[in-house]
Amino acid sequence: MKVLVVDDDRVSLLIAESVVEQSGHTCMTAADGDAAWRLFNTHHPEVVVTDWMMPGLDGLALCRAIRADPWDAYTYLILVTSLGTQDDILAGTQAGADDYVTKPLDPFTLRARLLVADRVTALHAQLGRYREDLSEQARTDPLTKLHNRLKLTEDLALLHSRSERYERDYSVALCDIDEFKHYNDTYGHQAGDEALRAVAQTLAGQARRNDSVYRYGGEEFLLLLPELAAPAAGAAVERLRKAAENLEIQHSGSAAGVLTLSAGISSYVPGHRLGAEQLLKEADLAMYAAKAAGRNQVSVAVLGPDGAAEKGVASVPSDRR
Amino acid sequence: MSQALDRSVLDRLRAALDDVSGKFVAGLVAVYGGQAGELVHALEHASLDYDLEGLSSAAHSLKGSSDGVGGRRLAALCLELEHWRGTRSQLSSRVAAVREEVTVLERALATYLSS
Repeated sequence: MKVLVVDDDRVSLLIAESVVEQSGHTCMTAADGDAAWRLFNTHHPEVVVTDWMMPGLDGLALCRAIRADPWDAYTYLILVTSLGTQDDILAGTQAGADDYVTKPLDPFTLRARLLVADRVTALHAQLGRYREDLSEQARTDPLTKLHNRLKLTEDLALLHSRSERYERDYSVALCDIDEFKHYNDTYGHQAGDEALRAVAQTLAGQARRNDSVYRYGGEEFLLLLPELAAPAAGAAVERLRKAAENLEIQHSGSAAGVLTLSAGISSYVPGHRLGAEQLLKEADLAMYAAKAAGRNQVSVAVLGPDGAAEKGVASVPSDRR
Repeated sequence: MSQALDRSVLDRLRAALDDVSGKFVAGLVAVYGGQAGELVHALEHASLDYDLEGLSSAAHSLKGSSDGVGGRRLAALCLELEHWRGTRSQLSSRVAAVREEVTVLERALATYLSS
């Protein structure tokens, strides 16, 4: 562990430093609260052992500052005090201290407290990893391993606000596997799952590095294409449609004889009044227009100059076989 | 009257920190000596200016470090200065008593180290 010891009393500081190092930890020292706060922000120690009464930021203020830090995973705080009344102990705990030791510093007591600190910080680190894993799992589609709709909602909100603020284009593309119910009915659900995985892998592999691919629903995939508006977005998605077709997954219910995609695109350009949700709806309508026009093709929503939907779509030129 | 130095404090430190050679405790006593000199100086300044905040702060620090090396009697004197309730005229004699006690404690520490 990295342990920061803070005390303006050099005798106590030396004793605490010696205990920390003999316990096998790395020790940093500071002679006042302000220097401690700077060291804390630079080195992020797992444990802070701090004197209460010090010049500048005192021990209580230091505990409060650390607890208020939104980036702090969990620092174990031990308050060193010659003030041993119940009210003082309560005040220290309320300020964020996990434990306290009294002066004069007893090496054995501090060593015992560091053992507890080691155990508690290890648990917090483990908890942090679980939290990250759970957060990732909550945003991942288990079948295709693509990001899911929750992650899409977060990413789209961020992309939209950034695009508005910095006046940048972006597009959303909704892709739907053609006649997928027929595919499942004919080849079985296991084959259907394999097909979904294959298409997902192709879309993720062929998309530009900055594009993001999400599983939107059953056989629907959604792409976020930053810095790209129609017609360039149409060309990019047409390339993906072609890549999916080139997988040559046999599909007797498809006119092409293989599994194909239909896609609809809508684009945000600076000055549009359309929100992200409306863009998704326009992409959905464009995708249905592509289906209605014969499937296995890409359509782009035609939006007015201020972003108002003109209820029209344009087909993207295709080199279908 | 109690002894100037409670030797058991340093004995416990040596045992707890596995300080067989006594090198750590010798270093600690040296650090204490330097710090005590500075703090007595600060106490004298605070006394002259009747700066009670400065007096309390220096007395608190000297109390803590003296306690840390076993100077219980000096720590008790410092506690009185930390929460000074006496008059301004009484203060200088109490600060002088602290200075004298620091000298006594340092002598006792030197004896401890040489024994």
